[in-house]
Amino acid sequence: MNPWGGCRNDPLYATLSSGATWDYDQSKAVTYSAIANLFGFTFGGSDGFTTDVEHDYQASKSSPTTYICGPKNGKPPIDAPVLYNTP
Amino acid sequence: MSRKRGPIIARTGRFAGLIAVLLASVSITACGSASEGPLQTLSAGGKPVLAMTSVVVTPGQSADAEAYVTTSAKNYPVQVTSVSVVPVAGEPAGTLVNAGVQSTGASVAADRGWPAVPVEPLIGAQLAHRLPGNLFGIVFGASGPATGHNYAVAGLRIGYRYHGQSYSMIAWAPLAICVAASLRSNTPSCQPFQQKINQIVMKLSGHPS
Repeated sequence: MNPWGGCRNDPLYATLSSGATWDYDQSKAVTYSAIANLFGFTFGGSDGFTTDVEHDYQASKSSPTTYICGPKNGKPPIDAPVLYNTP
Repeated sequence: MSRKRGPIIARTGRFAGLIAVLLASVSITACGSASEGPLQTLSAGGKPVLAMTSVVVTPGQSADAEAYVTTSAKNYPVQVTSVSVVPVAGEPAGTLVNAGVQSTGASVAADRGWPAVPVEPLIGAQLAHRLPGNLFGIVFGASGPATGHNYAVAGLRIGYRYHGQSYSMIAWAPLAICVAASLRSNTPSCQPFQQKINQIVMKLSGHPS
């Protein structure tokens, strides 16, 4: 579960626009397949719950701006050990 | 007499040499250094952490990304005096549209249109710790003019003053910009170009590939 309920509730969220990609090489990403399908994300892992050290975020060209956040540890996505991408 | 002069001259010469070395060191420090200041690109285990982005934009539209910088400055402010893009060799460089310090904590993974999140002007900014871990984010936008062409940025070169001295550093933040007439479902993906840029910047920055 996303501890924020939605990443816009995290003041340290990061934005990802439609058709853009963000490859980040440090943390693990957590998402859910339904959300992934809804927002058109693809990941390095194929099950929508990647544990790869490296992962890719790619927003579909038709998606709205999507928000990425970390757990409630006060760290921004660039410095978070786990990432969520629920809206 | 001459026996006494010899050693005295030798000692004087060594002393003069030492003074020359010290003066040279002071001179180098006064001119600024690329690596000795308190700002460093975000790193882990001594290697830069790279957040690599790609954005499809229309001609002149800003592709936004973020560079992350850590600071070891204590008690004295760091004031940014200049910023420019670091080009990727062999690729057309994106034109810097603007750069700012994130002001609310919200950051940019990859976005378009300046500014994607609230920022304060970077030039003249007195940097304080905005995020945990002595970390702050510099949001920047870059663009390219021609449809069907790709542009790249390896990172930002940031000039700043700290404790009366000038420094510069590179904040690595690879950004691939693909310019299209419009963003449609059949617009070619920017990812292949991004992967090419990533490989170049990883080598350039000393990132383990």
